[in-house]
Amino acid sequence: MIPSIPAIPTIPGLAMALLLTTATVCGLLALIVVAERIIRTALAHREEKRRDRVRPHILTIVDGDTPATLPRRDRAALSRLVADTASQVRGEDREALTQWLIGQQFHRAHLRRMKSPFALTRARALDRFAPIAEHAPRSIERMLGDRDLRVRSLAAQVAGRSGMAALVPELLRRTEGTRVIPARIISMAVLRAAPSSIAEFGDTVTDSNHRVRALALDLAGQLNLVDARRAIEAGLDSPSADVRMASVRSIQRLGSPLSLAALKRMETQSPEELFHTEVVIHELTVG
Amino acid sequence: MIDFLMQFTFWVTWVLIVYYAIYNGVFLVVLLKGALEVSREVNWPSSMTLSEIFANPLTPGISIIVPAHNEESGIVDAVLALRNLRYPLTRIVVVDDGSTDETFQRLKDNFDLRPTSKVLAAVPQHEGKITELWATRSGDLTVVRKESVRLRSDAVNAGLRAADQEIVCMIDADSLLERDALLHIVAPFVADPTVLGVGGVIRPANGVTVSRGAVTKVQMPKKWVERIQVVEYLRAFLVGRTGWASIKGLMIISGAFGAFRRDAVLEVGGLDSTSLAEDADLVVAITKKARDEKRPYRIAFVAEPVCWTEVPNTFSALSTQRRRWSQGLGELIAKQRKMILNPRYGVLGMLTLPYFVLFEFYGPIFGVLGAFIALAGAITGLITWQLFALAFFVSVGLSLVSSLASVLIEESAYHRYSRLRDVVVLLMTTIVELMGFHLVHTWWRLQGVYRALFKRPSEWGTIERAGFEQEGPGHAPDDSPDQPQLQRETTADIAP
Repeated sequence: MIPSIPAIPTIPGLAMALLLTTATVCGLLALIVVAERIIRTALAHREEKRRDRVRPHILTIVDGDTPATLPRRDRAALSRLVADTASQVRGEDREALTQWLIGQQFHRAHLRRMKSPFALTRARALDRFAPIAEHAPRSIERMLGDRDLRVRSLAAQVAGRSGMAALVPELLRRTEGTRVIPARIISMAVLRAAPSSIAEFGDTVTDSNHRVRALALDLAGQLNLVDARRAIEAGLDSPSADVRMASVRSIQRLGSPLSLAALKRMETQSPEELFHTEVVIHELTVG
Repeated sequence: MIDFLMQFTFWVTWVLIVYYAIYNGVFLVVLLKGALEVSREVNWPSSMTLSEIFANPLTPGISIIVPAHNEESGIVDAVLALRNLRYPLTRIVVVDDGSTDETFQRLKDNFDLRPTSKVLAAVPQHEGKITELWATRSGDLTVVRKESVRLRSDAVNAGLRAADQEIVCMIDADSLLERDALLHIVAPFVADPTVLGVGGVIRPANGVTVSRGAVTKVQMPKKWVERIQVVEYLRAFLVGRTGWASIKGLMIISGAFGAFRRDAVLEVGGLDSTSLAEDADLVVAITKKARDEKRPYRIAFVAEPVCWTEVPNTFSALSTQRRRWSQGLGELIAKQRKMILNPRYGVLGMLTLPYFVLFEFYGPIFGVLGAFIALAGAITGLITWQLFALAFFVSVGLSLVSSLASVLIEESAYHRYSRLRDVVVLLMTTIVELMGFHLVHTWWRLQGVYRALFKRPSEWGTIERAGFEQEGPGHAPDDSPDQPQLQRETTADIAP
């Protein structure tokens, strides 16, 4: 028999202890997987039954009546269901549902969670708050400056989806600065908010920051805001190529021959600018 | 002599212990990061984001490149499924890569194709000459016919020339995408202008039931060879790649489904057709270029199961695939060796690449030699069983923990397997994989290492495709005329 080298002389039994620990951890993991499945299935089933039970009350709320007093958990389930439904309907039905939610103090817990140190908690609260967001524009405006980019982006989406035209200037200013939001998301939000007049863009169409101004002018064109014509034409004189190009694109979209004079006056500073401007002049002239 | 043997065995076993402790330790950290990321992704409210992307006119368009070589049986269904995806602007580019069957004719008959004089981009370069260009009247489907050089990457490069949208998405003709897959994969591009590439979670389609191009039922496959790959994909794709991406060290976006900014792909000349690991090669090349030019960039990974792909269902096909992956990794490492341990390349250079070199590429050498020496040493009494048990713990025990944790993450986050029985089978598979399959797999990988080190010719195998199981009577894969057995080149990848 060859004599063995004592492998771990100072910690006898370590290997066996580690193996036993591993076996226990593996067993526990397997058990948790199975338990998770069983518990989740049971909870989902219970929630589904609860939702089925409270669903008829939605019609009562839409009719403007007060639903019967419900047990605490059923009331919570009804709140969740009403919040989900409110984001899918429009007009009076939506108004009735959101008013009921406000009456139930639905917003309080979510407003509190929107101040959580955890981005995920803030995002989830914001998402749940979305159906009644139009009643609290200041809260959404605050979330546009959140420290987490994804939360800021989500706030922009909520603002757009809730048609918060009043937040358009704040959205546009988020193109630049410390807590920015990607331009594409801002554009989506502004288009979704659909401001009906250039006045709702505030002073962003004359903003000293050329990126903010260019985006504002671009979006004014995309939204076909006829009353933005003068602001857009003013952009043709900007020292920034981005602003000038945005103005040219927007004039093209508006298609107003009244802008021809401004276009012809424009001093182009690159072959690309010249080409685009001449194309637009031709289009407007031909009609 | 005996004394030397004892010392040798003793120290080899200790090297093995330290090696596997680092290997599994690093992977457990990656797994933990992946688990946190998956948890965050799953709980993050995304429905609004997806509907915003879908509804908005500013959403970037996607060119979907589908290389097809003798895919007559499934190409029409594949294109129809792509057309049904929920996305506002898609342009499908099918590259008929020298098919000798009815692939093109089926496309022509079903989609009213007509010759087009569309101007193709001058880059990237490709070997197989383009012979014809066809398109639908609306332009949403373009078919590029080219001569085959038996390389998928060459076909993709030809497709890239016809891709005219901001984002390009490369998929296999037999990949099945979730209905919102494109919305999921584009979300990072919209949210962050510096994102250059996005990968998504890919799952084995073996065992799933499909109806009208959508997965309707997910069950564990019947064969162990397929079941084992389900566990591997869970561990590597769902958790591993999510974890690597969360520490900004993602090296692979699978060829079966990945999206990139078109400009970024063209800047690096498209796919490297000489590489066996063209998908990893592309990600590394894009990262390298961005780092070299000190441009902000991000390679993202969407922790959502978005793509289902058929995996080898025989050990023979699997062995060919794994040998090739290992060889491809070796070739990639040799090609990008200057990036290894180079701080200029960030996490990729300092952690991911060294990890892949030491543990993924050279791992089989340590595995085979180390296991043999340790086992022989314990049997002959050269080392104590205690030491052997310690080696066993760090190599097998920790691997099992990571596999089971991956299953737990899947079950907590996605729970795609509807039956409890499937979950139990999944748990059993983790043990089978580690106790039996792992050794065989290590041997295949060792062969790949040999091929890479000694520059043996590349080996492209074929996979017997069984087709997806269709829902409803009369649509079983065995009797469906639309889903016969077909053969095709396997998708390149370097690790599951």
